[in-house]
Amino acid sequence: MDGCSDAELVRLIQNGDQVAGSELFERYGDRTYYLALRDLRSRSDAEDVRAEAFLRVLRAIQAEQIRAPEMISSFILSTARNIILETLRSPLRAASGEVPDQSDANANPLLDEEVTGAIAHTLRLLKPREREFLRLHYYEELPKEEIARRIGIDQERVRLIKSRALKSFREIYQRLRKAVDTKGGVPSHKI
Amino acid sequence: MEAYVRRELTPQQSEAFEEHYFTCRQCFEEVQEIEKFIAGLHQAGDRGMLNTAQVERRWLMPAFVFATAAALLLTAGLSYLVLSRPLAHEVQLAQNVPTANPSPQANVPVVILNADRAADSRRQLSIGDIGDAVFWIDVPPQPPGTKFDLTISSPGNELKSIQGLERNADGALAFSVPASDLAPGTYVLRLSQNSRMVAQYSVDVIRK
Repeated sequence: MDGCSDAELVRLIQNGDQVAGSELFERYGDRTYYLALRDLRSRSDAEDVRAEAFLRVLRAIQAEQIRAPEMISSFILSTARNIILETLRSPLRAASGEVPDQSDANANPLLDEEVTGAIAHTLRLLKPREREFLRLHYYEELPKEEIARRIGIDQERVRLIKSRALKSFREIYQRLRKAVDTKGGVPSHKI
Repeated sequence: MEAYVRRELTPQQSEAFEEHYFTCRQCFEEVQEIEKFIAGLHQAGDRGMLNTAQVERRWLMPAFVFATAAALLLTAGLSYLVLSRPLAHEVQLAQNVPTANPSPQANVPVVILNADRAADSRRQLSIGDIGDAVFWIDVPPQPPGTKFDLTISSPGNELKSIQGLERNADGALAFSVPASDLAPGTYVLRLSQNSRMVAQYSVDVIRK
């Protein structure tokens, strides 16, 4: 299935191939989830949007309503957007006073232990001035001119600090992900 | 990409970018990394970790400095030999070790340890009742076959040891411990090489 184009997957789904349906979900499920999570800030809502989006997409495919099978990704995206809007406008959501999963920093749906660990490790690798820049830019969200005035760095330096911090975070995060995901990769010890 | 994550694009620009990453796997992964990076920095800011007044100075233990200098003299070929060894072989070298849980776990607690001489330097590890906690100790490149031993003093003053740890393909000594073995309290970990202590760490284990 990996080598199948989107258009071929659509044709297979129309012919009743359930594996093709799963493959379509594998290809676009994570992006749909991310899009929903970004707007709704709730894991459960994002999961609901993803499920509903693929339900509608598969129904549309089986009903042969897809005019351009090769553009199925755009159809999934637009379907997801519609459902996100429906969710945001839902009177049920408003009435429940549902708040996103951000009651505290630990509940941020985007964060996991590996992110927290990678950030802590990255910060240790930075100089105090670089750490100050990250605080002013990403945490305080000050304008660049104000940051430049406070800590006296130019645009090129800004670019280098961001690039270095992000590169460091990416490397450490990927190593940590591999450590916890690799089958049998980290020996377990009873103490 | 950062402008998208920080919602600095116009709605039209955002939609155009979303159309793109829905078809470009690489761009999607980069967007996710930036999203997590910024979310992580916000959390760090909330916890005061971005305050420059709390800068910690890391001092390399003399043994690590020597090890680093020695390692720099080795050729890239030795590093390749270390990196090319199957990961499973490193597991087999550990003594009396149950096999690792083959199923990936979500939100596995991880503590990254660095050699640090600051007197009150401690790491905090927040764990649940089930699953494993991963310990990750960065070490400089080592000659092939270099092994480390670790003694762990638990809050109950019990002493346990893990022998034969080897630097993995990512440049660290990594091992996991079942959460059920980690009662809350302060653990002192002493890393030694050839019976000589090279680093010491303190970890405060907290139950969620």
